[in-house]
Amino acid sequence: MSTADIDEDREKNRLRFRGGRAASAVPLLVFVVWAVVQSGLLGIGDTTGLVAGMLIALIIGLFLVKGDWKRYADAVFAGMTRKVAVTAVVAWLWAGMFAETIQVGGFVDGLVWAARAFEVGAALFPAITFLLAALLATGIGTGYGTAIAFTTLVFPAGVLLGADPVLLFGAILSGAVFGDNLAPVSDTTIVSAVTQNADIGGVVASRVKYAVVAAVLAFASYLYAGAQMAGQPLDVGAQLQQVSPWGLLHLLPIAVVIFTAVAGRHIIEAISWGIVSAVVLNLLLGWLGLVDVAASDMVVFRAPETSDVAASLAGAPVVGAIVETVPRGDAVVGGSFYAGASGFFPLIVLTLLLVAGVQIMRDGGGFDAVEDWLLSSVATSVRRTELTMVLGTALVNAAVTINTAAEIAIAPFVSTLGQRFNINAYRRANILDANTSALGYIFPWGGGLLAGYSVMVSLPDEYAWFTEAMVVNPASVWPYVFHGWFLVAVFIVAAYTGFGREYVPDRASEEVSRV
Amino acid sequence: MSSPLEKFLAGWSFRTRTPAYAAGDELVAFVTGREGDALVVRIGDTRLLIPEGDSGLVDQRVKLRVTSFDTDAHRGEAEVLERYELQDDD
Repeated sequence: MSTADIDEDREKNRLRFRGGRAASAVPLLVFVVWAVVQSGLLGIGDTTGLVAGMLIALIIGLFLVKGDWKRYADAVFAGMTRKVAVTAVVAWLWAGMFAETIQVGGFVDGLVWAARAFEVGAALFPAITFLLAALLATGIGTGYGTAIAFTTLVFPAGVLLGADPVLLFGAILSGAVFGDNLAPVSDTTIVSAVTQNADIGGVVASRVKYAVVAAVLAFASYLYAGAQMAGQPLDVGAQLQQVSPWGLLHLLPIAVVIFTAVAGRHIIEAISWGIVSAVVLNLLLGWLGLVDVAASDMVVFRAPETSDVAASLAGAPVVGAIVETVPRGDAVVGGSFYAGASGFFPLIVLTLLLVAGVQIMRDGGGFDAVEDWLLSSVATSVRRTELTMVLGTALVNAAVTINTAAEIAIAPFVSTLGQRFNINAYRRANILDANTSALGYIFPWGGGLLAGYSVMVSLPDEYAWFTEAMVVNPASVWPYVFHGWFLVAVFIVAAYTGFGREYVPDRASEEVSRV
Repeated sequence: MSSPLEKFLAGWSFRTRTPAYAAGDELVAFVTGREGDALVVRIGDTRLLIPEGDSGLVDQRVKLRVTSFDTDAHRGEAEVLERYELQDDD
């Protein structure tokens, strides 16, 4: 088929809109406006709210279609059934189960214990907190969860020691950025790999170099700023709840996931091995009485007490460990597998709708229009292209609070622009994810920052000595999220100098078959 | 497949904007566009031309053999040896 034939064919099958090719971007633009208003202006970090926004956006787009509306509906289905969406969904379900299972096994308590056991004093506390928060986020893959756990449990301990609250909150958010960026079970890591057609293990291994450079700079900055900003310990005679160190053993299942994934096993297999080892460890720790965890924390059937079958199973040996009887209205299945998977449901639905929106823009020619403009006027050399990818991703993520959603929207541009210069899939995934992870935790409307802040406001109710004045103003944290800033800076320097750059012919990523 | 250690160590370097090749080199890359009748494989700011290539190959991954290369101009010519399967998500 000749060039002219292909162009003619594409033109004939194109989804047509009133207002031309640009109008095909309307569903995504309506969504972005919705997301900025909902999360940025109103401060509502509710993913299901974004689902409603995307559904409305898809309906609005329908009214702009010229000719048969069926073409539009076909594009919605074509988008949703793309492999990229389905792969991310499957990986998230596994990642969610794993993260929740190591959390019920006391992993957070173990890290809290470590933070206190170092007895480092106010000056060193932020730097150590950054490292431990980074460890948690690398294990559980969720920066939001890390921000919540550390703000609840480690933040008060640091404030008691006299660490500066704003700096300490910045250190927690920096740790969250680190894990969100690097963890193989992180939602943004998974999206970055699958949208660029690369294997997750290879992506994680290739991204260590950027994460480590930024983390070393961030750690040094927390050491310096910690010493400059340290105050006096609070003499309030307060006691913090005792925690068990044994949950730290969950570093083992985390290592299992990382090494099996990097060794080239499929991500489903890698995380399954992590889940199996975490379950065995939990049962062992619970049986030995070292951590307050039991089989029912992982899987439990809470059946109505009116059921005879349930009553007899609940009393039976072995099976009884995961069957409980409850009042009829409270009957439910629970545990870490349930909670871990269901925690991702809103994001899964949102992702399917978002890729439908991307497909409409693709089929309607809007995507080609933006791409043509970028390639002819901005991305004219490999250096400028990489800078465009870095700054474009940073900009979209600075504007849209839920960073996974922003990442999915910008990913096709990163893919196409990068491919036009034969930039390796690993490099593209790394540019995409670093700036996605970093920007979601810096500004006062960032989802990760809001997650930590939402639990910080309840600390004065929990501790008598914790005054309202110690609650950090969300708008004051941005200069102190050092790892986030350094990560963006590392990529600007990397795009300019070629540090870490790899081309497609340099090294084949293990591609589609090994996600 | 490379070893896990190699995966961690890959890319710790400053890669040029204009990678150089020599006649006879075989490599896998995406066909990135057209220049007149020829196809272009742009790798960074280096351009390899495939004279009279099939337009259907644009945006596809192919195996190439470099037939000539000018290291000063960062341009060369290549021929297609093999075309890989269509990408599901390109």
